[in-house]
Order: sequence, then structure tokens, then C-alpha cells
Amino acid sequence: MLNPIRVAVLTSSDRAAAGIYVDKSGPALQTLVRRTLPAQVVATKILPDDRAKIAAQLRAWADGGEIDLILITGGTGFTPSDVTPEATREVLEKESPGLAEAMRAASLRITPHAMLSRAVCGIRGLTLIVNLPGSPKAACENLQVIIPALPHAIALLRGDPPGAGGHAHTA
Amino acid sequence: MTKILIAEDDRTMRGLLSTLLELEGDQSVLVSHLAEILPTAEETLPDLILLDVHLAGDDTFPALQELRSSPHVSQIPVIMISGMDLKDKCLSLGATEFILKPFRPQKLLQRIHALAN
Repeated sequence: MLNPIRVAVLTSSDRAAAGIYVDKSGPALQTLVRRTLPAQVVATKILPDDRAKIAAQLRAWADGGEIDLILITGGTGFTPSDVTPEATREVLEKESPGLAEAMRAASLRITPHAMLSRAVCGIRGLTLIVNLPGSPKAACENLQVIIPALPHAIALLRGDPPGAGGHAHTA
Repeated sequence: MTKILIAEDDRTMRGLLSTLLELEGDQSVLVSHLAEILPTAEETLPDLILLDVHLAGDDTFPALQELRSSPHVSQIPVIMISGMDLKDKCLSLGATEFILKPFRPQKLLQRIHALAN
């Protein structure tokens, strides 16, 4: 990896956006990213569970050319207000199902409720977008599963020289 | 606040555990080399030590024996973790508990809190 991964963290939560609840997931993800990746967190945002607002924020970040990785926590479940996967699909140009499958597979070893996760991951432009659960612990545990693959994924998106992401490209 | 000394060379696992501990209001002290374990334990006096059996190419059994021989830290609970089932050896050398990888981070945190408190 030639340059740090530029990360944005978006929290999707009606209660956190309204100030009823203190967002813990976003800050926890920021800490985990800083400790485990060659990365810098360059943007954070808390939005309500609003499909149009989430999609607009994803477009703004991905199309701005300043962010390599967007992590979204919350809104991936079955409640009527959960719209993060729909907002994400709306903006994705390519899906990356392997990342979501890996997180679900790891979570299934912990709880059968993991099969209720509707999280999606994919690419818009040169930016990778990753959905994560809303609880801070689950968000961190899920992100930890895919962290080893992220430097290589970002290097491929950037078109960095082979090996810059830490692994030879075999796909 | 519980203080945990984490001796783990896997950057991802180290980062995850320290982040999850902080979410619980706990404090973590991180080391990644064998030679750091005893001096850091004696300096920081943690409530519990989490010790990966394999650390940066070394096995940490000598460090476990040093911890158990130190008058300052010999009573501190030590959880050892490994991808190989080394439970009997770890316990015979003085580990308080052994946890086989892969494990659920939340389960490890529950054991940490149970032993540290």
C-alpha cells in the first residue's frame, strides 16, 4: 500500500441522528480502522435511516475522489426502518458479494441471527462500500473478518503496482 | 476499570480486542514481542494477561514461567490462546485458562471479565 487508505464512516440510525442515543458504533469503527489498517479516517457522518439521504451521502463521498473505503454501520436488519442495503445497492456499480458472505459466514459461527443480516458490499467508481451491523461489537467483529483483504482490495481499485496491497493478485 | 495486558502479534486481533475492551470501559496495554511481556506486566500491573502462545516467531512459555516466578505479578490470571490445542501444557506451566483459536471475541471478553474480577 503506497498511501494510507482514506476511510469514511457513516452511521445510519434514527435515534443517533436525533441525538437520543450516543453513537458508539461509528467511533468504535474509527478506532479499529486506525489500529488495524494503514488508514486514516477522513470523514464521518450520522444520518437517519433514510434511503435517499444515505444514497446521496454515498454518492457524494464516492464521487468526490477523496475516499477509498466507506463503512456504513446500522440499518442492515429486518426492521421496517432498515434501508442501508437498499440505499447502497442504489449507488453500487459492482457488487462484491464475497465480502458480505465472509462476514455472514463468520457471524453464523457465533449466532444464527447472522442469517438475518442483509448487508451488501460493492464498488462505486474507485471506492469500496461496506455495510456493517448497527451494534458496535458486531460491527467491529464483522469488519475484523474482512480487514486482511482490504489493503489488497483498495490497491486493486487504485491500480497500485502488484504487491502494493500486501498480496499477489491471483483473481 | 479493568486493565488487560494483551500479548498478541496479530495486528487485527490486537486491534479488535483492544477496541472491544474499550467499549466496555476497560483499558488495554499492548505488546507484540516476547521480551516486552514481563517488564510491561511488572510496570503496569494489569488485572489479567492475555498471552498468545506464538508471538513473532517465539513461543511464550518462557514468558509464562517468568510471570509465575515474579513476586510482583505471579498472582495475575493468565489466559493463553493458540490455534493448536495446547491446553494441558499451558495449564501445567501455570496458565489460568486456555482458549483455542478461532474463538468468538465476545466469549473471550466474557472470560477475561470473569477472571479479572
